[in-house]
Amino acid sequence: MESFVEAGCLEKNAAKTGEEPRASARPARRIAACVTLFAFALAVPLVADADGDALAAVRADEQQRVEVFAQAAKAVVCVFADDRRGGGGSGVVIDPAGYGLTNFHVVQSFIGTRRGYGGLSDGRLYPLKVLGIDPGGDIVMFKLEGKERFDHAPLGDSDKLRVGQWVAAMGNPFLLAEDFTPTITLGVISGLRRYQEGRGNLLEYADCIQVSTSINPGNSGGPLFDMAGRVIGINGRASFEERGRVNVGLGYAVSVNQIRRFLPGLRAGRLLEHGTLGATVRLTGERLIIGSIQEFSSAERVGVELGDELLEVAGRRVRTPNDYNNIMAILPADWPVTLRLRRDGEPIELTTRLERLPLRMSLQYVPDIEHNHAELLGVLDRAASADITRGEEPWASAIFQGQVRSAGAGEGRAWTVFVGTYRATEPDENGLDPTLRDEWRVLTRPLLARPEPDLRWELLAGDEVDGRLVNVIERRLDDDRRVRWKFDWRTDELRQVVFGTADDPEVATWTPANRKEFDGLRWPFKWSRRTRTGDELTLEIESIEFVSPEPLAAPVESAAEEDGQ
Amino acid sequence: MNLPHAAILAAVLLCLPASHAQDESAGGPFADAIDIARSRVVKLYGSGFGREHGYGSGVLVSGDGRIVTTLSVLLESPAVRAVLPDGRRFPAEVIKRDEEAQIALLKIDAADLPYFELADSSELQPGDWLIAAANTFKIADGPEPISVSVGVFSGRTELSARRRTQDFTYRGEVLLTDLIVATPGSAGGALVDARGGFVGLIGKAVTSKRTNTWINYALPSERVAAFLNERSDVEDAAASEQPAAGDATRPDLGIVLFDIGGRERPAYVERVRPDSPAHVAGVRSNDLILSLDGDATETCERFQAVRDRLRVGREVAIVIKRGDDLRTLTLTVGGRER
Amino acid sequence: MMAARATFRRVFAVFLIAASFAASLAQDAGGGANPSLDFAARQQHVRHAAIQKLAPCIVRIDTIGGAQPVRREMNRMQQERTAAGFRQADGPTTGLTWSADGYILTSSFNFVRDPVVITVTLADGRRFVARLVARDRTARLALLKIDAADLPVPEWRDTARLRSGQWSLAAGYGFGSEQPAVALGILSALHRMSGQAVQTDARISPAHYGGPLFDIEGRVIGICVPMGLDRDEMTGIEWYDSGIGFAVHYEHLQRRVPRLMEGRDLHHGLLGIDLESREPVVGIVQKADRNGPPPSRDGLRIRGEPRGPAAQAGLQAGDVITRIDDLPTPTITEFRRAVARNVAGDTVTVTYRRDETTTSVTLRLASAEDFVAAPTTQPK
Repeated sequence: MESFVEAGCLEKNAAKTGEEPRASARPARRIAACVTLFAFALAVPLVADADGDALAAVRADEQQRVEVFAQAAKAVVCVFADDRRGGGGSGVVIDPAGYGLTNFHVVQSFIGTRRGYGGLSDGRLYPLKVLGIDPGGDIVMFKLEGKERFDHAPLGDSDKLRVGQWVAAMGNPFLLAEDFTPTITLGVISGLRRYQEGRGNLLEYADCIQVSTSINPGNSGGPLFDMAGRVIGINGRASFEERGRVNVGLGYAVSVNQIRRFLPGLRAGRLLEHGTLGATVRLTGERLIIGSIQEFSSAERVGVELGDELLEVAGRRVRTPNDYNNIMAILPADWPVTLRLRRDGEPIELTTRLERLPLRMSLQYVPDIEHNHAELLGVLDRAASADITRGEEPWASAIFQGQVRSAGAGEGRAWTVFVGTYRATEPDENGLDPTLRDEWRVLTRPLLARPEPDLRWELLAGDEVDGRLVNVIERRLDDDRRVRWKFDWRTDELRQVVFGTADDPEVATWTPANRKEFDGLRWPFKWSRRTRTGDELTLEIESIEFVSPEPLAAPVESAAEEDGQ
Repeated sequence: MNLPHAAILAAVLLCLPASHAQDESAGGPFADAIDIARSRVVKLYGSGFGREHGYGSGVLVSGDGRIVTTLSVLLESPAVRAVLPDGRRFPAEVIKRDEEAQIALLKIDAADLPYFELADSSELQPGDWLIAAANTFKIADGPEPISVSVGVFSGRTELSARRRTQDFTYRGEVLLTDLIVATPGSAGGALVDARGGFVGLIGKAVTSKRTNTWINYALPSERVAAFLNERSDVEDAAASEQPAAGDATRPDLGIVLFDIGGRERPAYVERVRPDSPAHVAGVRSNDLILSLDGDATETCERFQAVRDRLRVGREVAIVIKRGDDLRTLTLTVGGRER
Repeated sequence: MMAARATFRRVFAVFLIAASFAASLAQDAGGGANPSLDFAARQQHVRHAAIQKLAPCIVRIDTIGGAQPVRREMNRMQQERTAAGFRQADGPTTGLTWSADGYILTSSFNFVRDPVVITVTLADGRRFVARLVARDRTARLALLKIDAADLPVPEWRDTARLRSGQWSLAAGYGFGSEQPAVALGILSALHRMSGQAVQTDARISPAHYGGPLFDIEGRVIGICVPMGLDRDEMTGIEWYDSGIGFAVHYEHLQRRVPRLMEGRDLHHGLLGIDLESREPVVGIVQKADRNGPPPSRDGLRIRGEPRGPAAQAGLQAGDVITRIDDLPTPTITEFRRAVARNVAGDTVTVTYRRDETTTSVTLRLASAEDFVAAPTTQPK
């Protein structure tokens, strides 16, 4: 069948040649009439079958939802403080190893021992251990034991949510789940980026999701799902009024995108705090102005000035004090933040790290060092065996020793560090490049060799590098120097290595080479060099040696040598 | 444009889905209706008093800033403010009230605002989708979008309710919903259908006398339209339902109830006055009166309250139980001098 | 050749326009250009059909008179939590036809005042005096009988095929509407309340108690009743409109309604024992602690001396109950569900282990009144 465009052209051509298109009008009209009748005849049975169609369509949609819920419900946990179903709430497993999320206020009653219990929809109770906690954000991570592999739910993207879309909450309101199957409630998103004032020191919910799903006491800590079965929030609060603590159509969930930044720290078993810029804002007409700046704050240090108009924080446009409070309340302490401001009509961009906002509560929290080390080794392990056959171009693999000398302090100091990246060569039967394994052993041998945790190594809270969430492993050298490796949270690639001291952790930074520029065994790598004015420490790169991919001859000695320097 | 081109265009236009523009617009199956509703509901603020909240909702009914809301203490404040969806604040003036329906009309000095057309709600059927948009719990501030929720239309009924200890003045037809709208700040908000058509004004939070629970309802849009257009007629009609204060006659049926044991006892007939309306209709001694003019009469007190509301001369139905039988009889309300 | 082409073009153009109009005819009015609005309209259409199909079976119940509950001095919230507070209301309630010969199923909530007169009004407007046949205190049901024949009866949903997430609607007369008022939700969970009821997030309230919970095809899932966390018949009302609602499902109704027809009220059946309340935990060895000894892996240990039927049957402290009738009882939930299938007066077989020996005994469940001293209640 000829296309219509072509037909149009033909029509024009016909006109040009002077052909009379109406020559065959009469038979054409008859045919047109028949065709019209035919089309309407088709329509009649369509209308008549509308009932059957409608029911089939509604049933199919319902069935799809049922299947999504059935799968999601397997990841929902009924959280208890003891094995007699005391002190309950809800939670959700987000990793097959049994890691999950719940509210801080759900586990608060057993935060001392950190040991509780989780009931799953298989009807059984599993031991539950609380790992990292974020009391300010009302989120903690736990781990269930007792099975090799747990059903888990994937995380969604709460920035993509829209008011009016269907969502479902799952949990254990009023502890009704006698067999641990969760209660499922359906509703829509009623509002986004809502603010709920805290009660006492806790439970301030900023930037939260407001939902019309029924949320009642006992739902706390449980997941909010989208219709694809992805976790988009953790339910924790509801509005109550004269009737008492019974749902009246408004519930609130901590957004999953807020929780994401805290995931590495939660997984590392740490007590996490939120950040502050040390500045407040106020609305002058239509403009949001910096109203006050605390002395010695991050804002002051980076050069924010009173009267600057604030446009964006961490990539989010802010127009009102509420917008500002919402974004500030959800960032972790020490997080890198880029501010876009306007000063005297000129745009300015400033980047700084937030300071910690101390918890306004006394909390006895002893970090679990063994767990932290186990997680740390897990990160190194994953980094070592990260999938190297991703179909991308091969890129460099090597160990290098970087010597950085600092001048100006009289004595020279140097860091020697072993850093590995990946190369796609012929993998062995495990899919692993044998030289790669050796490189990592060199790096981690001192760590692996010790029976008890090596206190010089620690898994820190997460960080952000070039917009990517990273795990951070820190190695403390004897004389107060520190090296931090930052591995991508999702892909386990090495993103950054940072050298510094206790006072100034970011003296020098190394980032992996741009892999597209790689050529054979040489790779161009970049050092960023930072000079602090007003301080005697100036850093210059004196020399960098590139060491070939062969494994070092005497790895143990090299490690000792590194320690001694 | 010639025929084939027109055909292409027609076909293409009929197949195009509605597009949703920016990030802040709603999503899901009711996106358009939500966007329509949110852009026509305003936040109202005034002063509170005791348990009364100083905030609520209102709906825009004209492009120049006429707003309908429910009567409440917040309107008594000298500085009632309306905050538009875009965040602009205006002082609002009360220009009309309807004490029976407990609604009011406000005016702000604005122009070119989107507003609701007051169509009627008669097309609604139980089970139809409804969307509520209101300033519930005043969660949203300034330009922040108000809260929305999705539920269904439950049905219609005549309202019989209490607000705290007092009978609620409005006893007319309301739209029931399973959306929870009996919450602080929701009164004066909008109920719209799946296409964004305004069907009802969320009513003041009251307790149903029939169930003793908070009842979720809205005033039908026709009633709101009547308030805006024919206010005096509505008032007159309401007035004519009541016997005037100075009326010489009161309604009388000729029924004397068994009064022993207090007025909470069931309405058993002791005797019927000969030739009275009840006698003519067939009511006899020992009959139990179950309902009068459609209202249940559980107790003697209820019977008398319903009877006192009747209009002399009207024909009303009376349902009685005699033995195991139920009968519906018709009587003409008589009058008796006070 | 050209002429034929021209003809074809015209014909095709007309066809396209006609087909477009036909397509918009086939869609529900007004939704033509918006597929999600189309679907919303279809959902409404399906619900209308479901409601219409079931409406003839939904009845309105009116009651007259009865004892006035004694009103203690209570604050408003306390009042609302008791049946007394709620039944000050004077509105109608709801029921569902059970059999063509006049049995009507409803909730015992509607008769807490022991009314003098009960009338049932059918959907077709006919009104009857009704007799209260019996109440089920455990499932909060009540059975009425009217003198009618050929009543329309509903289609029921097989409980075993229910799934969480399916649509569920409730309908009731409590607000005084002429047609039953409708609420929409989903099935939140199956087998709650010791397995007697399904849970729904439809906003159920006294306006719906006694009426049906049904699916999008108008098939009845169960009867809406108030249910709460303790034994009192009226707990659960405080959860009205909260998105926590219960309906006694068909499987349980099939057990109970024939019993109600016998004309005697049904009460909770008790064995007369307390059970150790610690639950088994996967993967760890539980030790004795201040909450008691570790749980047994295959049954429930009796705590303290048994009383009533259990004592008479020879059960002792420390015995581990492994089965009730043919149902294994490894957890409290299983135990409660097995017992809840029965009522006071029923006989059950209890299998238990003492040291290495396993024994089965039959005993007759007692009611709370049968216990002379303070009744032994089973742990929550």
